Amino acid sequence: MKLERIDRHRWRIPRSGGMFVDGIVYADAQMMADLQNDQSLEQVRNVAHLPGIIGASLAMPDIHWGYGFPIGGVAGMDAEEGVVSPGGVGYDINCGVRLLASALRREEVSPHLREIVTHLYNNVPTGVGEGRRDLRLSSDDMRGVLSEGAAWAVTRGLGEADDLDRIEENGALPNADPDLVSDRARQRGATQLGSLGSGNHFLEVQYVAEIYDEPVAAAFGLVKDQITVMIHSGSRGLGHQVCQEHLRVMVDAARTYGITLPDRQLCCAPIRSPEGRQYLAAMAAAANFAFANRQVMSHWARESIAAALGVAPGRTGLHVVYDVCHNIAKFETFQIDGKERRVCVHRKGSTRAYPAGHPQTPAAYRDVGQPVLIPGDMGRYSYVLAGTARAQAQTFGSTCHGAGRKMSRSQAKRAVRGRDLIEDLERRGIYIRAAGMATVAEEMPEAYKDVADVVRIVHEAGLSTRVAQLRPIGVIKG
Amino acid sequence: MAPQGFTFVDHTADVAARLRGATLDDLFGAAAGALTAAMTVPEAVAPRQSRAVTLEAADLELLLVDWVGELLYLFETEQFLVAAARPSVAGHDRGWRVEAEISGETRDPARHPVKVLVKAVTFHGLRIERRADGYETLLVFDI
Repeated sequence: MKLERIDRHRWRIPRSGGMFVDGIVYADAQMMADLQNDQSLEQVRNVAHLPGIIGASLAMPDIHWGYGFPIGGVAGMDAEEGVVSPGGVGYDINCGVRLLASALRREEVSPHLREIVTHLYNNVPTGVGEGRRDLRLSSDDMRGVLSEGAAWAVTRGLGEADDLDRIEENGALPNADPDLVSDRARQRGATQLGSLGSGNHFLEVQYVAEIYDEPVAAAFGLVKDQITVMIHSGSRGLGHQVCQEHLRVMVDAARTYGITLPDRQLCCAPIRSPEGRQYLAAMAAAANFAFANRQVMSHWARESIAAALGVAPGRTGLHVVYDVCHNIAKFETFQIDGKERRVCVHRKGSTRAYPAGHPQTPAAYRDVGQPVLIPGDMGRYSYVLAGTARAQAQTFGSTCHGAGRKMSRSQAKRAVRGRDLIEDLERRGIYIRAAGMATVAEEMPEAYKDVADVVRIVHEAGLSTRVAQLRPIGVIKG
Repeated sequence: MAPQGFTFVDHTADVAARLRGATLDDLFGAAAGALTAAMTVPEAVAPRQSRAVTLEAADLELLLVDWVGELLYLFETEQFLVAAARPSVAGHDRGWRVEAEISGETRDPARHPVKVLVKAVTFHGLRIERRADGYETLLVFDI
């Protein structure tokens, strides 16, 4: 494949054949060398075939192979003339990350870590299927979750009203239509609200290990050795079912509207078509389920940590720093060639990174930019970054989302064989409880790229700036 | 003839299975086997209850995705694991239909440890190819 280096961190796949625009990949030379053996560059090219795509088919430095779109892929579609593709969002609609900061310091929490992790493990369901029996959704409740998102949970007493100020889109996408979420999707979700799921999803107790930018960290309320909690989860079976059903519809729709695609998994429909509108309204409802899911788990995490420490929940000072979507398609407005344009931004494994001064950046952060939350793997570290004007100009206000796998699950299991990974992690000061120990092996740190490399590139490329590094001390997983 | 059934193929992000069958019925049966084996220890799943499934789709690939999606739905909503499936696949004037009797049981955590949780069945690399000795395709699960 033809590849041109634009500058230190940008590579162009020039437009050719059926491509409407170039592909642009953010990576350094080493990463690009590794990507040569991967199908993900081909996927960047394929996305450039979608009608109505604006600027370029983009990929962040955590790019890796996905279905249709690469993971780490970003595509902005013209809101009038463009298409929407469920493959550009992914199966786990609004998989995302929430960060809570506390008034607790590492030294006061460390002696109680086992109790904390045990409480979290007992109170926040992980792994197969069901959520807590004390949260069962009636059909009215489900309707509320799908249309109101995180606010539904807050009105039920599962959180604080000001939590909503610090969530992307305030925790609810507009234009969600609960009636377009099928009975099957509702059934898959009915017992799963307030559950973590499996795979790379986690809930971590962390501490602030490094501060790179004091003033911005202060604005985010982060100080060294402070305890934080990070939740990585999405819309569970409900979102998977919505994606699966609409992919099916879009296969036919692409044919109906005469859209030729290099990969069936990229199937799509015009945004203004009935199929396109229906997908967007169902996807928004599933996204709201995910916002509510992270809200409920945050509440239980607050209760669990307070109970483990034997204090009132208010004493821990646990509050929301921010909550971001990693898999989403949303209408956002950008200045393009001097004109304001409404764009349907597909972020598949990418994080919104709005700059200082943007009206959607929460008031508390308006002088420094939106917090960007980048989870790493369970043995290493995660990052907090801040959004920039350059991301706004170059990548539809988007940056990376995480580390990205480099080993297959069976490779990881082979690599772990004979090692007690749980003990290894404990020796490194990380206490873990997981529903399936096989997951721990598959999710071992070495199975992932080092998230620090990904973060360094977006920092140097100016798509977001490094603010703080968080290291895990307690983990629960599926 | 290549071996019947399924073999798992190494895949960085997810779980991929190569399915083979002398007939389409066998191929669809292999897909059901691959799903159970991806999620748990298949030998431990007993045929205690049975279910009937009928699905239709415009082409064979869509039908295969719907078929495995249906089994996944049974697992997510009822924790039903498939021990054996006897699908019968046939073409009709508007496309393809599968009628199947499936047997299996509700997951018992003590006997059925979870290997991975499959989120969805994908279209990636899915192309049912007819060979001299039967049918073959790749099937990738999103996990």
